Amino acid sequence: MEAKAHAHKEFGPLQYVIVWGALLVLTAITVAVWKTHWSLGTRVTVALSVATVKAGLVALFFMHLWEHGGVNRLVMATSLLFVALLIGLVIADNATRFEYANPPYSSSWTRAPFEDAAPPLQEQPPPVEGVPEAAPH
Amino acid sequence: MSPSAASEAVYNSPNYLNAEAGIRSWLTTRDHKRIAVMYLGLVVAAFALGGFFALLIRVELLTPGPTIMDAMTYNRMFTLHGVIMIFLFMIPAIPGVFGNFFLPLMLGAQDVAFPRINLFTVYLYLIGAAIAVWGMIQGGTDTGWTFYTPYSTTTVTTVAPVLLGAFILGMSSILTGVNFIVTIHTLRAPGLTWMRLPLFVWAIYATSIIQVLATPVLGMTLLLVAVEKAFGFGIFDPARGGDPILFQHLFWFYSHPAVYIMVLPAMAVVSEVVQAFARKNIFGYKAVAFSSLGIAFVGFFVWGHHLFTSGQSTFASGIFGVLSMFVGIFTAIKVFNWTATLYKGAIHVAAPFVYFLGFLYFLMFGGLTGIALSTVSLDVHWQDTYFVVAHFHFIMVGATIMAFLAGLHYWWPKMFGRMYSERWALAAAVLVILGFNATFIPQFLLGNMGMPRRYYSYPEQFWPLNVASTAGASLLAFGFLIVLIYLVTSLVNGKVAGPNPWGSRGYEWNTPSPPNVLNFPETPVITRGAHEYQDPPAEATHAH
Amino acid sequence: MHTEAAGSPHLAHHFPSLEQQEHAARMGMWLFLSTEVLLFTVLFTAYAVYRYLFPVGFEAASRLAHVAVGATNTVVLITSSLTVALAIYYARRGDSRKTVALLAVTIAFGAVFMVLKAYEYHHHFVDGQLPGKFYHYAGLKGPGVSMYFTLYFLMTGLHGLHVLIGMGVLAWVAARAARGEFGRAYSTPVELGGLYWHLVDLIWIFLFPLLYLL
Repeated sequence: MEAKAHAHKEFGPLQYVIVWGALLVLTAITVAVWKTHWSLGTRVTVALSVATVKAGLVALFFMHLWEHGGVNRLVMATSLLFVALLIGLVIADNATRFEYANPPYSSSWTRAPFEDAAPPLQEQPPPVEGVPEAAPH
Repeated sequence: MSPSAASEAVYNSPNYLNAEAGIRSWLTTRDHKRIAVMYLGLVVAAFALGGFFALLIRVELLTPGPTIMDAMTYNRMFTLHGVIMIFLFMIPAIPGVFGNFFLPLMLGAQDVAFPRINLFTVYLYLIGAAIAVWGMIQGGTDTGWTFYTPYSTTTVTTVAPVLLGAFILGMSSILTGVNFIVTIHTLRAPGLTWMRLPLFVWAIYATSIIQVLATPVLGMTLLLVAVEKAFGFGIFDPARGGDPILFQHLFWFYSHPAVYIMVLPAMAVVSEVVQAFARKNIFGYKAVAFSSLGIAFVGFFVWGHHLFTSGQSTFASGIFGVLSMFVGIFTAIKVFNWTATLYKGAIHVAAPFVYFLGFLYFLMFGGLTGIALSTVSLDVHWQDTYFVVAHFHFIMVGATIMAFLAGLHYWWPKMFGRMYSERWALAAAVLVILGFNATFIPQFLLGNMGMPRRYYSYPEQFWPLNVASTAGASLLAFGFLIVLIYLVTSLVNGKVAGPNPWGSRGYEWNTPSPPNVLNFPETPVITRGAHEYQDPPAEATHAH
Repeated sequence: MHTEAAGSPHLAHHFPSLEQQEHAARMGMWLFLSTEVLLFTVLFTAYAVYRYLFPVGFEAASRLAHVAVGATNTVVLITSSLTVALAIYYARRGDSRKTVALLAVTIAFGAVFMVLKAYEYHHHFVDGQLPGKFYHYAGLKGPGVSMYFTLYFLMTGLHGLHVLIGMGVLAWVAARAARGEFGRAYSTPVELGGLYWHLVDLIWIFLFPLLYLL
């Protein structure tokens, strides 16, 4: 009885190849995003969304969560929730700190802290020198 | 299966203790009961070791200046005490001993889901413990059990073995958690629905979830500290753009849920003990069951209250402070329900019940001081003082160890088929409770007066209370020693216990004492709830 | 049929049926995978924090990563996920020849991944693009640049270690398949090995855009 039910839902080689094809297409999209001139925020959002879709395809079809999900889906979903929790709250901390409580010359440092600090600090954080030409940006 | 009648018959039939003889049969066993007994030996040894270092600390603090050691040694002492107590006792003890022994029995199962992995966790415990303790002896880390960067990454003392040992111990904890979750999901006897599960099982389930989700974060974080110390990549080093507070975030993301790994199993035991000794069903079964899950879940949201004075933003501190108060609600639900269970119950005052009373009192004060500490403006004054030390010792020693002792005394006859001396047990319980109060109430006062923690010398005005605390610690240690002595001697001299000396309705008591190797000759079919004290009492077979 | 009489050599004494045992094994594996996810989360958290703190430095440094190699590796791992999924499919049908072949191909893909990784690492070493205090690439300096490489090496290093472990696990499973151990009634080890391998792929699916493309 179970075998029939499983045979009904169980995927064959064709389904797996289709999923594989979709993953390749999504990978191409991700790389294509890299070549655009969109802002960092947009590129991060698109790239992570595409990665999430790819991960979903792998989890649901290659890892059979679609077929016999149930409690295992809950396990994975719960762990992802806590991933988001850890990353989210830690960034919320760094994003709202007193500016010099973050590492030196990080994005919250807006000006030199003390005038007579040694070595003398520049008005702005030091620039990132030597941007390589390989980038299309 | 009906409990066997004659106590002599119990010792004539093969139980799990005497079924196979020889060290090798123990070292290669897959029987969850034998694994539980091995854990008992190991965690008791660890507790004695950690307690020994605690006594050394208290002796050092007898006088304001150096007493028996120098500052560096003192730092090593409290690191040793913390690492051993937390990783070698508090985290593994109740799940490893009572979880292993009683989870299958309460589920009507023959064993846990993965018996060989279960045995493997014992070996992981041993290996991790050996490496950590060896590392401490080698050159001994002085960072405190919290390994804060940048000190832990730059100290000259040996940190790597302790980190590695803790990592391996974490693996043991994770595998235990996985085992228990799968066991509870897949090995329940027919008819045992979730709402008929003993509350012990609910709390162990919640604990296992935390073990699985939180421990890997600690493992990786400690690994990063080891890598940092060895190679100096700078992940927590401001000179290279690193953030030392990131370490604290990552560390406490595990270590706060870890305290719920320690206290939830204690609550698991207490839920069983209170029903057996009030001879009454728990008040509010669903509330207690779901509050365990609530603690496990919300306990993950509050770690930042350890970072209030670290440089964390006030915005984040505010969030964490408020969330920390929410988690207290679930504990409060349990405390109210346990107390309500006593109302109109037929209370039997024996050692487990005395420990339960101690547990309740200590949990309340420990928990309330925790809520006070979660108020950011108050914590600024109390952080890193003895107030915090007293708070967590109230929960960890006061509540958790009382619960461990309650469980040990409740289930001793089931596990070993012997009763201990009730008079000695009551006397020791009183000693332990009094000794505990004498040790840690002075520490609340010291902390409020401003005495910092982890300091080996202190100003003269703190002298009297420190002496009082050390005197209390001696009393406490003496109480524990008495417990050890009468329990061990009961194995030889104790009266033979019948299958159910307490008249408990818990399902695990439907087996002989000690249980057979095979828990149940045939799979039981469960038709009733977990305890059902409203039914007419079964024959309570008292010890002869 | 998945259920077996008590006489099945694979059925443990404490499980009432082989099907329940398989279900338990799968659940145990998924729980273990969630621990691996949380393990990598520590590094992802560090990445997120330092990326937030040093956006310019990270963006510039990530352009030093070899996108072509990374993309190739992504395709390699995705294809290896396909082959291992197919291996499980054939294992369930008792076709041990195809199972072993597909597992071997999967392992080969893993080896290709590691070789490409080694090539990348070599180039970074030669150029002085190393983690933390060892960073000495003259072509790019500034806050956050060395931290990028610290995270690059830690994350891809930990991932590479998992690829190696996965290859070992699959090799062991392949050896058992070659002995004809798997069939209609029992193929759990292949499934569990496959699940581990898919996790390795899953993590790379996130590593690739975060480290190479952004």
